[in-house]
Amino acid sequence: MKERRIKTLVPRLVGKGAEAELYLAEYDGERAVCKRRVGKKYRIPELDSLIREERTKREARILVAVKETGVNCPKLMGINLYGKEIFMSFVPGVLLREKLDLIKGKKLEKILLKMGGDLARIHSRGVVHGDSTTSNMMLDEKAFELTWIDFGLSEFSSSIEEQATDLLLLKKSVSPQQFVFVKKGYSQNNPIAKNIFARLDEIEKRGRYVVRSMAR
Amino acid sequence: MHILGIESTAHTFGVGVVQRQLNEKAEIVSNQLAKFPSTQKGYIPRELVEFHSNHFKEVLEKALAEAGISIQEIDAVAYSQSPGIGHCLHFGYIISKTLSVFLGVPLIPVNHAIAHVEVGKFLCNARDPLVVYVSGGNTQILARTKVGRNHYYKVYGETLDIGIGNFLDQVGRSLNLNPPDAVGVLLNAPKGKKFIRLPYTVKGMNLAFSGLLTAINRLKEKYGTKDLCYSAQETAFSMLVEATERCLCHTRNPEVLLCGGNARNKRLQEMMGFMCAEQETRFCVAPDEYNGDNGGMIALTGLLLYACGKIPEKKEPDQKARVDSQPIPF
Repeated sequence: MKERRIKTLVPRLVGKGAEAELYLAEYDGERAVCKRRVGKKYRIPELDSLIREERTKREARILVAVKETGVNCPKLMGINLYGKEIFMSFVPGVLLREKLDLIKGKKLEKILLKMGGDLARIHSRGVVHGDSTTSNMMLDEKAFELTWIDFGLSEFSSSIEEQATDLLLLKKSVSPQQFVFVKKGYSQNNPIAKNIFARLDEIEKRGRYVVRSMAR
Repeated sequence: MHILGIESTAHTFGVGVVQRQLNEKAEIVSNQLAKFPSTQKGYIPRELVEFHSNHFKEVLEKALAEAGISIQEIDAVAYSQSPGIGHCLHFGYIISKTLSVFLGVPLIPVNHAIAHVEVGKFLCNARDPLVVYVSGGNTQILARTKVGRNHYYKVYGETLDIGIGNFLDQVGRSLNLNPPDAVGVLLNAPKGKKFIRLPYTVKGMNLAFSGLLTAINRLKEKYGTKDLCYSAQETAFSMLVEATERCLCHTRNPEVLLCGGNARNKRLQEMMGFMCAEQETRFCVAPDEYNGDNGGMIALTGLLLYACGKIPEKKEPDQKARVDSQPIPF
């Protein structure tokens, strides 16, 4: 077996989420990102370790599955279960959340259609993203490429319910006008899109104390 | 100035009095209540109202005695308008409306959830907390935000099915604990030793407890009661703290406030405290007396509304008003 050269470049923290820390690293000479799921003192050790390990494994599998669909996402490079770490390729660009409202016209339309289409392709592979908001997409401004990141809450599932929940999250993170195009892109790439939109309406009406007749 | 607060949304009939002298800080001078005991059957609305009507006079008298005032010294009556069990809300409405007409003072409708938050903020001196509101029917993570001209408590995360208290109550009943509710789970949990893996459902900042409940019902023949209580509590609370941590990373409030009936659980307080320490955020929780349903919190919120001069027009009870549908004028 070829020996891997892993180097956590200066423990330089590039991001800190609720459950993981991101470090810049080098993996086999390539620029990489190391995502380390940190232990939580509030959880009892048995549960904490189980959850971190399961999520690390699952995220690695998901990255591979999503890559197969042709949707842009970080490339899985390696995994260290002991340290609950994943090594993946570095994605250049900016968070879409920060740029989306600055994009206008045809370009905006294109990115929104792509967003919907990508989500439909991910769903068709039997994966739900689980946190599909514009904070989890990167935009490479030069190549105008959309890349999905953070599959930390993703799952293997083909349930209409969870696919609709993904769409709901996406709907909440863009404006109603923008969502029209996302919906269009999604319909073009998922043959059962109608069923999922129907479930989306149903989920919105299900919220606690929502006035049923008035729910959008 | 004295404001009387009447709480009657579910199992508790509570009366509280808040006093404020000119240019001084308000003070909750009395807080009395009667709580319907847990039963194996859960709560039946008709029985709750029967209980409330048998106890309201005694509770009201005790509250006035504790405050050391006569009923004529009341300047306004606040009552819990929403959300809650219809029968109970209407009972509270009738009592408080009668009092307000009899005394010739204003009637102030108060949202129960907002009252839980405001009393916590008041007692802990919190400025702008991320609120974790955990009670029988509600499990919500809230923070104050401005929408247009008004302020609202925005719901960042919430349960997608049942409230965490409701979940624990049902575990208590399913396992035949004594008392058959969340308190039974709380008493048995520290005696559990073996951790049993149960479904752990956090969807973004939202939670779901029904799968957890089903799993416990399936496993109750196989494992001991104490171990199940321990595992149920650890799993449910870990989910809640994780969702809170996610919200906190998003909103970055300077404080986290735990409130609602289940905020009295010491293990939950401890876990929230650990999380807040890691996130370098102040953790606050009000004394137990003010976390369960009580009249004091209604009186306090009534005072805040009265003082800013914006008493809502609609006085009738509303079973289903969402917390994020109510503007906060103070």
